[in-house]
Amino acid sequence: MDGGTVLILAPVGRDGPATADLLARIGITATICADHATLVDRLSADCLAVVATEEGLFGRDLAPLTAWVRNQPAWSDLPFVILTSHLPQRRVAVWRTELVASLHNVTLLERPVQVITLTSSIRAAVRARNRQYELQALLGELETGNERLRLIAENASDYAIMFSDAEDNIVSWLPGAAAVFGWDQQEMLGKPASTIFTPEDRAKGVPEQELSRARADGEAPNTRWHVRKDGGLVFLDGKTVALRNVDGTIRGFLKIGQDVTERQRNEERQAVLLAELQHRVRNVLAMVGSLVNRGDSGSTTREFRERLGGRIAALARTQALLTRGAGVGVDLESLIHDELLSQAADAARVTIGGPRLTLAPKAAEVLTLAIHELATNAAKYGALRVPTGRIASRWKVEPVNGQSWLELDWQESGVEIAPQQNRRKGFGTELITRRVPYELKGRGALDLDAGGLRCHIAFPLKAGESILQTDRPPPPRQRR
Amino acid sequence: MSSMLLAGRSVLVIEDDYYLADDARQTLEDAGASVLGPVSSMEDALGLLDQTSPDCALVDINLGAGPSFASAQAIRSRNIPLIFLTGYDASTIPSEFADAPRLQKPVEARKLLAAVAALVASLDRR
Repeated sequence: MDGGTVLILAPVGRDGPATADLLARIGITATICADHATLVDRLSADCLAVVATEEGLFGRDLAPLTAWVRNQPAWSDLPFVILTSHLPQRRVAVWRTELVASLHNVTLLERPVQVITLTSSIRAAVRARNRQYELQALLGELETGNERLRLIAENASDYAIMFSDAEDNIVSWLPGAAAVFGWDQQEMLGKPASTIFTPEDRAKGVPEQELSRARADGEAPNTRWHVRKDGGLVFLDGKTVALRNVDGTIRGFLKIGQDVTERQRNEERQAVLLAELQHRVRNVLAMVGSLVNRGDSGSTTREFRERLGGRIAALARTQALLTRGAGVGVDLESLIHDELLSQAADAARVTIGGPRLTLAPKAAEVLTLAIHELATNAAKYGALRVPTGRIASRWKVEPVNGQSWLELDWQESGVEIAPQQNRRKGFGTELITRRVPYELKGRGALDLDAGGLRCHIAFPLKAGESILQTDRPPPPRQRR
Repeated sequence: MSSMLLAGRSVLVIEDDYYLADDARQTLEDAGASVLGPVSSMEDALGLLDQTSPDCALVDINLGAGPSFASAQAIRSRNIPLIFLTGYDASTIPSEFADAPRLQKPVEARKLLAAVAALVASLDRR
């Protein structure tokens, strides 16, 4: 060891320099201490060994020396080689016993000492001391590693880490586990590790299956919902590892898992959203297919194309509004306004009025198409075709049997109805008199008065539901 | 395919979309079947089932409030075979209904009739 030195305390005669010479010859550095106090001063972790004569210590206050010995760190046990004195046995016997006991690591050599005895003893002491230094270095590495592990365990707060014994009762519950699950270590020590499984998984024997697999394969994946102290669910992505004794028997288990609840919920939401989107797209295509098959009888291909195009556009307008986000509805007034606007209706001839109202998706879809049909019919045959024509669309909300009903009227006036003008029982009529009752559980009537068309639509209002629900249970295959 | 493929058969139709329900009704009636409904809600379906027992049922999974299998369960509990008509993928259907035929929307009339005919034919073999 660099800088390491053997301290020599031999104040009487030539023993000090002689011993230093001997050590120098075998490559050991020595430092001669003139007296006991100097020796105590020089004591340090770098000190390889102490060679001292009894007469150098006898009669001195040894308390500082023994205190230094007692306070050495765990790895250190400084070797002493003590050369006996020529003091009378009865004077020195008790003192010597105490000295050996208080310095602990002592080799006592009786003088006269042969050179080989002295050098081999000191060489052995230095060698043992060097082994202590190696131990110190190893301990240091261990402590650094432990410190790192401790820091990781304490700061990985979204990683639940716990150890259990061979019976899977919890023996260590790290801070991350406390953060993820809400139980602290005191509450969980001794509890079965299956406590964190959901009641459903416990009933199905999932904890036992996981342990069997860990015993058989060394580890088992643990990627599933778990239950928190507050009853909430937390999704862990991790594993259970079997810990073995040297003889191969199971010592216990390590369970480690990352809290990926947010990611899991997002994935499940996404799966639901995707399923809803597929459903929506296919339904819309089915609807378009159905619209194609539902023309107004007797119209020309050109008329049919125009009407169909208009209906698909109306459908698309509703879709655009409803898919803007979850839980959106459509404002009734702007719905009517937009449909009239798309027929280039003169605002002065149109009256729209009623309480502010947001329609749920289904109602919005049906009503958009209904108003679209009324508006296109008005442009083609009714109030928007003649300069004297007027349209009044008014609505109110009325309680019916404990439900709120929308009562909507569409009244055209100033239209001269030719007696022979035969209103076809077409698409719009079916929509208002059949689809409204069927889909909205309401009523729809269409009549031709002397001054123009009159339509009445009524249905119960439902709280708005998004067409892109994400709070529903995910499809079964996505569930774990 | 005979135009009276389903003569004498009764089919319950549960579909919340009026046009699709009406198309299915038309297709089935054209093939000689008598159609129960169509109905747009589970409550209406249960009301009909309390009065009469159809040979089979055509069931839409989403009646306006996300996928639901309550009406399918009610139909199964009455031992009435059913066909799903849906815009959802097969993965949305719970395993208890995995054996039920599934028609993907939009469905062609030809496919609808073939599925219903196959189902009632399997009844006759029972």
